[in-house]
Amino acid sequence: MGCHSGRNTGGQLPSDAVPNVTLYNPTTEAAIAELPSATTAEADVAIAKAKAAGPVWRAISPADRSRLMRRYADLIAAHAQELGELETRNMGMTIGNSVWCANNASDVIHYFAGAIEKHGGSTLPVANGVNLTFPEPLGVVGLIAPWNFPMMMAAWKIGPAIAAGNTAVLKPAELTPLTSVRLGELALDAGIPEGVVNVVVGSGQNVGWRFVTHPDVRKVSFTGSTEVGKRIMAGCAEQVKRVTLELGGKSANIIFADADLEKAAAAAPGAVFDNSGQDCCARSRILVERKAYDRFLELFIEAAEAFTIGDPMSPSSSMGPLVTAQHLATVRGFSDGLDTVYTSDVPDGPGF
Amino acid sequence: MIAAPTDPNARVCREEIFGPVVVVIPFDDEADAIRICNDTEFGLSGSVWTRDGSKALRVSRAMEAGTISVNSNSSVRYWTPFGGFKQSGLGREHSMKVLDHYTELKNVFIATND
Repeated sequence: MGCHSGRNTGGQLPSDAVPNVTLYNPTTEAAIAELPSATTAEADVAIAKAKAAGPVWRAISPADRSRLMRRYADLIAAHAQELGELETRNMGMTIGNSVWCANNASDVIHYFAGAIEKHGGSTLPVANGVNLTFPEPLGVVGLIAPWNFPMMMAAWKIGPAIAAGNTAVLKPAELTPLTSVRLGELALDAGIPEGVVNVVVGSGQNVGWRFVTHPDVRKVSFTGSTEVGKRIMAGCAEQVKRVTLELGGKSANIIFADADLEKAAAAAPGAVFDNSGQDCCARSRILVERKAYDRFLELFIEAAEAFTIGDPMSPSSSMGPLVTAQHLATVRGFSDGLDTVYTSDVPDGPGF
Repeated sequence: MIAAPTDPNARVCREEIFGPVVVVIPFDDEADAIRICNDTEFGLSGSVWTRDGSKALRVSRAMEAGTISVNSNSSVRYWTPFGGFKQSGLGREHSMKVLDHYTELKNVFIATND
C-alpha cells in the first residue's frame, strides 16, 4: 500500500509545519504509509469548518438526517472487507476482528440514525403555564479515539454525536488513523454535508489538546488511558467543558466453584488475550474460588494453548502482534521475572 | 501469559498492562471475592460465573464496575450503556442514554395566564 492520505476531510491542510507521521504494520514492522500531521492552526481550520456546518446539518429534517446516516452505515458495511484489511495492516488485530469491527461500526451508525427521530424532550406540570424541555445540540464536539479499536471507537463517537445534532472533529490515534480517514471520506460519499464529520490526523499535543482549549469545541469525548484522561478533564475544567471519558481497566472475572468450570475456562482466554490483550475491558484478573482453583487453572491452560499467536491476516490466528515495539517493551516490563504458570509460543520473525 | 502471583499488591495485579498477561488469584468466599474485585482504582467491566442466580445478582450489584456479565465475558452492546466506575471513566457511551451526554437539557416555561 502506498501513501494513503486520501481526501482530507478536515480542510486543506498544508503539511509544512509539522513532520509527516509514518505508519507501520506491526506484523511486518514495515512502513506502510506517511500522512501529513496537522498543526494547531490546521486543527482550528477543521473546528471552524465543523462550526460552519452546524446550522447546515440541523436545517436538514430529522427524517432526511436519519436517511443520510443510514446511507453512511450501508456504505461502511459495503466496505467492511477493505476497512478490515486496512485496520489489520495498520494496527495488527486479527482480520476476523477487524471485519467484525467494520460491521459493528455500520450497526452503530444505523442505531443512531434511528435515534434522531426518537430523542425528544418532555412536558412537566406547572401552574399558570406550560413547561417544556428540549435536548439541545452542543455545537462542535471533539472526539479522540484510541489505537486499540480505531475504527469501531471512532464510529461509537461519531454516531451519537451527529445524531444529536452536533458536528464532529475526530482525532484518531496518531499511530492508527487510516480507517478513520476512510470513515471521513465515506461520510461525504453518503451525502452527509461537508464539515459534519471532520477527521484531523495529528498529535495529541497539536490536535487533541486544541479540542480542550478551543472555545468553539463544546465537549470532548475521549477514549484512552486514565493518565491522559485526567489531564483532559483538568484542562476542560477551565471552560467548564463537557467531557466523556472511557479509560483504563483491570476487570475481574469472578469464578465460583458452582459455575460451569469448563465453560468459564473455555471463555477466559478470549476475554483477556483477544486483540492481544489491548482491550480496556480485558478480564485481566481471574478470581477463582479456592476449592475450584486447581481444576480451573488446568482447564484454563488447556484453553490458552489453543489460543494461537500468528499472522493476523490468517483466519487461523487467534491473536497477532502488539501495536508497537515500545508497547511490547512496556508489556515485557510487567512479565519479565514474573512467576508464570503458562507462557505461549511466540512465532519467530518480524512483528511486535 | 498466565501468572499466579502470591502478592496481591504486585504491579501485575494492580496496573493495567494492556497486553496478553493475566493473573489468577484464589478467593475464599463471596465477601472475599468482592473485596479483591473492588480493591482497585479501576471499575470498567467484569464477569461472574455461577449457577446460583441469587449469588450472581448479589455479586453483580456489589462489583464496583459499570458493565457486568453473568456466565459470559461480553461487555459492550451499542444499545446498552457502557462506561466505567471510579477512575475507569466518566459518563456513558451507547444506548439512548448517550444522547444525554451529547446534548444540553433546556427548560422553557410559557405563561398561559392573561
